[in-house]
Amino acid sequence: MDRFKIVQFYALLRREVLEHRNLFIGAPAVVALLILVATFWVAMQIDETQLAEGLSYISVLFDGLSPFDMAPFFMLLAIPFMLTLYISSVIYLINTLFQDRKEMSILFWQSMPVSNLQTVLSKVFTIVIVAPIFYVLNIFAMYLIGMILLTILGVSNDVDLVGIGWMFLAAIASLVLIYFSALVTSLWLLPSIGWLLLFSAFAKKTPLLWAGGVFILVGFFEDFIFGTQYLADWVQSRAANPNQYLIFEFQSLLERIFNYETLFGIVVGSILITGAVYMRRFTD
Amino acid sequence: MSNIVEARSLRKNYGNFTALDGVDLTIPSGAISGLIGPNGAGKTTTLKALIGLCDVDGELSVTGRDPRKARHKLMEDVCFIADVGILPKWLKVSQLIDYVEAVHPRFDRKKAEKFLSTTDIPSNKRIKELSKGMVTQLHLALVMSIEVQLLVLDEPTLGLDIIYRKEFYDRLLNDYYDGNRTIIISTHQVEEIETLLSHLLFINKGKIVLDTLMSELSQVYTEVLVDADKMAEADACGPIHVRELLGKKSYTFESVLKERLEVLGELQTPSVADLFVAKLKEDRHG
Amino acid sequence: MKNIILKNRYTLLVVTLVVYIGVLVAEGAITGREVRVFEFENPFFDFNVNNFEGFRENRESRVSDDSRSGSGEDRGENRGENRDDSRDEDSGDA
Repeated sequence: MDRFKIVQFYALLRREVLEHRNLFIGAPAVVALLILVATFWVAMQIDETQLAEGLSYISVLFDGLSPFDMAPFFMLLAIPFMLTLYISSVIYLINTLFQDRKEMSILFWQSMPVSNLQTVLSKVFTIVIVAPIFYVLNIFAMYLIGMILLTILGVSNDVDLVGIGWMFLAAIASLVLIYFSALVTSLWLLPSIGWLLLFSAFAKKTPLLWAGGVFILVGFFEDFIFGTQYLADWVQSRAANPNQYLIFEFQSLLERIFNYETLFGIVVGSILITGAVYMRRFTD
Repeated sequence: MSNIVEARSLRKNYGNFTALDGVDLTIPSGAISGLIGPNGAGKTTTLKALIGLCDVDGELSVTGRDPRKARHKLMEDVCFIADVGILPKWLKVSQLIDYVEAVHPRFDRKKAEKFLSTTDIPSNKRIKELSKGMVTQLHLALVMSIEVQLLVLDEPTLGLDIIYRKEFYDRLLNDYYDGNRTIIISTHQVEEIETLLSHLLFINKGKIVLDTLMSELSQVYTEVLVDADKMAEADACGPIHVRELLGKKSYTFESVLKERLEVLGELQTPSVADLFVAKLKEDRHG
Repeated sequence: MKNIILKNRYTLLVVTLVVYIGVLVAEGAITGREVRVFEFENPFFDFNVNNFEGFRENRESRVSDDSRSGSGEDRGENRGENRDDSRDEDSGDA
């Protein structure tokens, strides 16, 4: 791949982030702020002795243990962010190929020497690789502010925060887990990403309605023609257990990506993404 | 002179509506070509087809490429400004320039900044905050800074006031056109671009009704102001259009020998606007 | 063929969906697909606030079995008990 193509692709990704900065930067910032405010509001309600006990308790819990082993503790805090990312992704994917046709700016984007393949791939990359980076950065900022406030609380209550450094390191290590959780989830849900992009490129109005309606229709046809419910089973497999979206152990990372179900999902997702690339030629 | 655009029997239907009904056209390299037609004639569809933004049937070659196959390659050699503001409204001016610089191999940032410095466009404003005139100026500044063979302008000055319109064409002619580049302009405001053009295309109801070089216009088309006593004679020469003018009649002829017409009155070359009306009426009456 | 598929957005949509469901049904028939939920264990959900010493021991014994872990930081100030000193040589290469 030549250098110019990389510069071009970077510009495409930058465009996505600029256009959807509310979804990728604003939304997680709001969640981080809410968590911080809620935590410290709760801390203010507790009486001083209990607070001091609690603080030293948490601090000791992390003291001297490997941050990588303690990182999964912070995964619970990641859940609201993962949910926000999930909702933001759906909003982004269903609108991204629809909005520019609606406001006609597609004529400008298409008047540049950028292929439909590059455009659609930049959208997939944005969701799989780029959006989680901004979420993780937001969570990092939240941890940093949280730690500072915790230290102030500790010092002002004469608590020996012996393990606070370890706790912070564990929190930082958890960012890696959170990032890979988001990435693996996107690969796991690549068929859904492809489906939303396809209908975002297809619909002239109400793309979400099309995506949902045709999905039910296709499931119905499968049952009617083949007598099978693989589509429904497939979705149930992928949606049923929320536990499968969060990675708690670094060891399970490769296993999460290189398993038959995920790889087959990538293949099937690619069919739908290819459809979206070709659909992009219909600019009206 | 070779042709930068060659199209044979382009067809396009939108449901029951026929937008292009067998369009044939050739545009010579280096021409400033005017595509002129009433609303709904197929101007926008034709121009979109030329740059691969609209799928059409028929043979089509632009800068030697088929726009339907590799639009993104073609767009390295072609620029486009549409009739509506198509610049993304949420982008800041500076971000737009960054984007074009990154994706277009032939974009000259210094040139663009020089053009913009002569306007009132602030680089930190979002496009939605600019007036329509400014958006057009901005788009023109961008495309004038890209070294391409063909510039396609679809009603570029629609909805702009006279000052912006005049400035737009002045810039285009003085700062951009160098004799090698080809420009296609579609419009229904014929008078404004008449003096610019070197090649003329009329389109009506999805068909090209006139395709001529401006230099050949005077040889083919003649307008004569005829007194009442010679009207019968004039009618016999087979005018394509007749209109009343202060008690006299103005006759427009196509491919009639000048010697035959000289006896009727003073010969003139019809203005593009008059010719446009004449050809359209002729087309309507078959 | 390509012209028919790309004739309009509807033909393209139908063809894409037919390929999609075709692959899904074929794969389902070959592998005998049924609902398969991935169950990944999460040791942290078992954590009990009232038994955190037990949790620590549990983590530490797991850690000492596992050469992958470690932080390589100066732990001079730490006051943890019965820690496996072999971890001092690790350098956080997880």
